[in-house]
Amino acid sequence: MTVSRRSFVKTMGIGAAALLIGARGREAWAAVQSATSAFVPSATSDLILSSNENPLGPGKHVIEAMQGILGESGAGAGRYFFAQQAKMREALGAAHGAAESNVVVGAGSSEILLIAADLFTAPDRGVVTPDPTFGTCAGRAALLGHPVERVGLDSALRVDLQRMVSAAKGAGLVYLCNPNNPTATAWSGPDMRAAILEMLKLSPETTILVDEAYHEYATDPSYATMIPLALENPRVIVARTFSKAYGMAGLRLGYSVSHEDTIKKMSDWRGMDMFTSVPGRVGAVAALGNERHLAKEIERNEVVRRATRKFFHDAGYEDTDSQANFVYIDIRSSNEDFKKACRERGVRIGGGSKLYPKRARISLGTMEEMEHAFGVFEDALKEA
Amino acid sequence: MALTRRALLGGRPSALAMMIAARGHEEALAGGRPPLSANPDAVKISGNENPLGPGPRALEAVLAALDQSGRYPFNSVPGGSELTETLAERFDADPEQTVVGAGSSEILRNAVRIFAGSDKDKHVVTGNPSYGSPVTESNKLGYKCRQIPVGAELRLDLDAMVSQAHGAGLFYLCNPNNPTATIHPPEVIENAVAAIRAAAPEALVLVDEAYHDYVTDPAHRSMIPLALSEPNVVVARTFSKAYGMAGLRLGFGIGHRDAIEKLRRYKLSANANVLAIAAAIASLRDPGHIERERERNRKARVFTRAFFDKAGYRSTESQTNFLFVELRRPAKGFRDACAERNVVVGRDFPPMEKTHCRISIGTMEEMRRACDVFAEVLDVAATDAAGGAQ
Repeated sequence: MTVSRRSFVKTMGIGAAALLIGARGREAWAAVQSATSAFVPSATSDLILSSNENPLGPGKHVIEAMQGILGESGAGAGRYFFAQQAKMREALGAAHGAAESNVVVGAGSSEILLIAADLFTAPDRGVVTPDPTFGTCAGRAALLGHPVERVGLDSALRVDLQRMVSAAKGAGLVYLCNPNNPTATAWSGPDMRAAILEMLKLSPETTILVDEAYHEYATDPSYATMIPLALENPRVIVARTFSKAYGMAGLRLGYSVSHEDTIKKMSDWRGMDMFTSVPGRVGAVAALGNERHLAKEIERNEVVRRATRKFFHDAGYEDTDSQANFVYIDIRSSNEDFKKACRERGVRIGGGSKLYPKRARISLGTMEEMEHAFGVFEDALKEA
Repeated sequence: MALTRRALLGGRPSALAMMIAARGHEEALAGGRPPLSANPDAVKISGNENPLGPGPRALEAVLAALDQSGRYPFNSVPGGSELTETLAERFDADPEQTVVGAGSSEILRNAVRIFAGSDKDKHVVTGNPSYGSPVTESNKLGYKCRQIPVGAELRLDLDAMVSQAHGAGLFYLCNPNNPTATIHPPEVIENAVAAIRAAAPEALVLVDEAYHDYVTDPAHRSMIPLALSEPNVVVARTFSKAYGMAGLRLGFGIGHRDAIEKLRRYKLSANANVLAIAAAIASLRDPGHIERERERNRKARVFTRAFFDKAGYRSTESQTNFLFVELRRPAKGFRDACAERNVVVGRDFPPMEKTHCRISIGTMEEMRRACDVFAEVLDVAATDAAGGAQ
């Protein structure tokens, strides 16, 4: 399409667009679909900057792959297509220089986190988790009645690796979120590796789970994945997701690439995959096959991130060094009030943590969306 | 601002979208287009799937929901809460009396974990053969599982099952039962539930109604009203069978809020994907489609059952989208011979794999092809066997 996405629908209007589609068939329909999803991704009257989603969703190649498996008649949705589970694991293994036996898939990476909490915590061996961080691991351990030890962050709102190392002794599971949600900070590869090795030295029976949900969005050159360490050490697990940079939060797909023995344990516990959808699996394989699209998304996010940080810096507010698709801003007043003021103006933002009541977690939308949101933030900050 | 594809469609779906969505399906309904399967040449009648997939409105909803793929189900339109509300409305329940699963498997697995796992001395009671998930889950968790052989006409032996109530944590009643295809009348199920409730009030009675929508026996009733009024009774349902959404992964549990609350605590976060949510809501609002699907399946089932009757092979009185046929020979040999001829039938169902085979019901066209192959493999004259069965 040569017309811009915005002007296409705007100038033609809905009825005209539908007529055009009628005349041109499915291809044009797909074009409008991607155009409208790029223009107003939130699909509600509110602008959603609260869930760290990719505002553009998956690429066209993913949508087309999903349409393809559904089939002209849609009959594809009626089949279990179990064979595609192996295909997805193979594709993930290949993407990480590992084998299919190094991969377990989950219905979102939260399933991987739940499995890890189920398998590696016990009534006398709890989970050690940063505070604040993503809560699923700690939540499951608590549900099971297993101990949860929370370790506060350092002054830069990074996971306090030194204190995590001390707390790890005797733990069943250590949860590390890198980059950390909600504070957006990340540790370098060498720092992470050294801390994990130290934990394993002091507490060889402990399993370390590194949640790399925001991995793709980390642009600091010193940042590195812990997958190589996980592949060589059965006590280290890395969790990843298709919900963030791949833009597939609604399809519920995550995975772990780790040591074969650990993967086997997790796969056995999980049992037959009855939880991931056929379109999701096929979409994931298509997503992995298009590195260029991913690279563009990372670049797009970085540009928006820079502009958003600059907006807050110019307004006199400090933030953390975000390595994710959200920022963590010190608004110096109640975030609950700020959040409410934004909501009243049609923009939903996230909370931070009870520990940081004056911090706002703001997910990054498209540049257009953020430009709109900046105006709302200005007004809301005056009020807050 | 809400200028999405959904908004384009608005409350009344455009003729275009209807055309895109419906065309393929209707052609398939008319038998004009072969349904999609893993091997396009094979007749795949092994997984109790709906060969046509979801109905036209559900498919339209799936296509529209593709542009919601990037949103979590709690942000998408339609979203998870709309599904819960639609389910509640459809089944005359409160939203708190429903729990959604990534397929009904998630409900089944969590039910075993929660209700049979609170005490290591408790056990699971299920039929044999019956749907295997509760057995697999019990074995995985190291729980005891008592598999009670099916009784007369290969129906669940409810008396024998009820006699195991002492110390039970979970009763799994699959009605209609998979793989035997049989049902019990509602009064019989109600009496069994009452007896279990009296003998083991802490035990959960999980009634799996995965095939409910395919039942044609006029006396049949769902146990959902009972589950809503009686503590510790939950009905599991799925969108994988008549609703044609096996690949989308959605099921739900419905029952007393205390039991449902426990199941909710263990569910996966945001477990239902946005495509499944959209399709399910559209399906629930289109009950006429399920009626037509039930009738389509019934005709193909009658045809297939008549073939086996005439060929001299008994099958149970199926109330589902599959037959359990007594072939008087191991299922494996029959299955392999059929597979060579591009017809894929069901796997082994111990302890009856030496005598019985499960055959799912495809489209009428598929079943004609399949019966020709069965005739060849069983060495009967196909035309004689199927003649007059239409």
